[in-house]
Amino acid sequence: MARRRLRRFREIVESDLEILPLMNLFVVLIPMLLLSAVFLELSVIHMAAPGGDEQAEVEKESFDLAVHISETSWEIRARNIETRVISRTEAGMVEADGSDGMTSAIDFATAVGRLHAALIEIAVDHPENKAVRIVSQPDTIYEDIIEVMDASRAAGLPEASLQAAGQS
Amino acid sequence: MTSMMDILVVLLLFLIKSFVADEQMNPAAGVTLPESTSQERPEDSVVVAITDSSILVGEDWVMDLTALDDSEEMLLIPLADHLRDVRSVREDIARLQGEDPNLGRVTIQGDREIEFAVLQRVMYTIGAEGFEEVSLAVIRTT
Repeated sequence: MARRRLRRFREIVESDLEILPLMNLFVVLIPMLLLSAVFLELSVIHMAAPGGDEQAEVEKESFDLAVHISETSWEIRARNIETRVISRTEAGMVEADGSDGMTSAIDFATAVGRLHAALIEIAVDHPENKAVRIVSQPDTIYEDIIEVMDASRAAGLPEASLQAAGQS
Repeated sequence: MTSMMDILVVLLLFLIKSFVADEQMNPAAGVTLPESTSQERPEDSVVVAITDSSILVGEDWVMDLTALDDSEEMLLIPLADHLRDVRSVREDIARLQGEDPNLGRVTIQGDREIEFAVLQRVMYTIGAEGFEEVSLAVIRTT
């Protein structure tokens, strides 16, 4: 009697879990989620479209803060302040000298940090001003412009506009 | 069987974590976007992509960048024509659906290596076609 009960118990315990329906569900869910997965998160930087004469008029009357990007430096110019020149050549020069990339990356981060610090100083002295013109050369790389926009926004100057060097 | 289930469970959890219900903007093929600390989410708009060799509107090829070397003209006529067509189609769809399609907004997906001269002409053309807002698409960094 006891042996028969034990055998029945073993029969129950040793039966396999029925996971095939779960597998079917997974096989449907995984491709669906793979299609909708986002591996790169995009964001945007809003700007006004160029061509507005009103914007130029406002800039002429106001503080008119501008960051001029050149191959070797950033120049911060505005009304009633001394022009500041911040070198950005360390990165390129270190690489040209044959030093390692890590050093150049640190130098470049330091250069961006100096630009950021200078913009913060100006933003604190002129809290009414939120706009900055980013003046680029025709061959300025897009990534460098975004870098300056980031530094300006972080310094409390969110209204960035783009301008070509030589335009008034 | 159990080990395969383990793999599937881990995969499923990872995918659920990265699942986004909203409609997402994806970078155009051939475009490596610059990185930025901007946290503003993209909105529904006309997408102009600038790769290292061509300009696209949505997924449609519009013109080669080599064509820019031969001209000093700021207005890019093929792009202007294409933007006008896209705008007209979006206006028609919006009229039929009774919705506001944000007609004045364009998002530029520019490759990180493009020169300002190209970006400037594209932005000038967008402005000349009456689009009021321009957004620059970037890869979000923390």
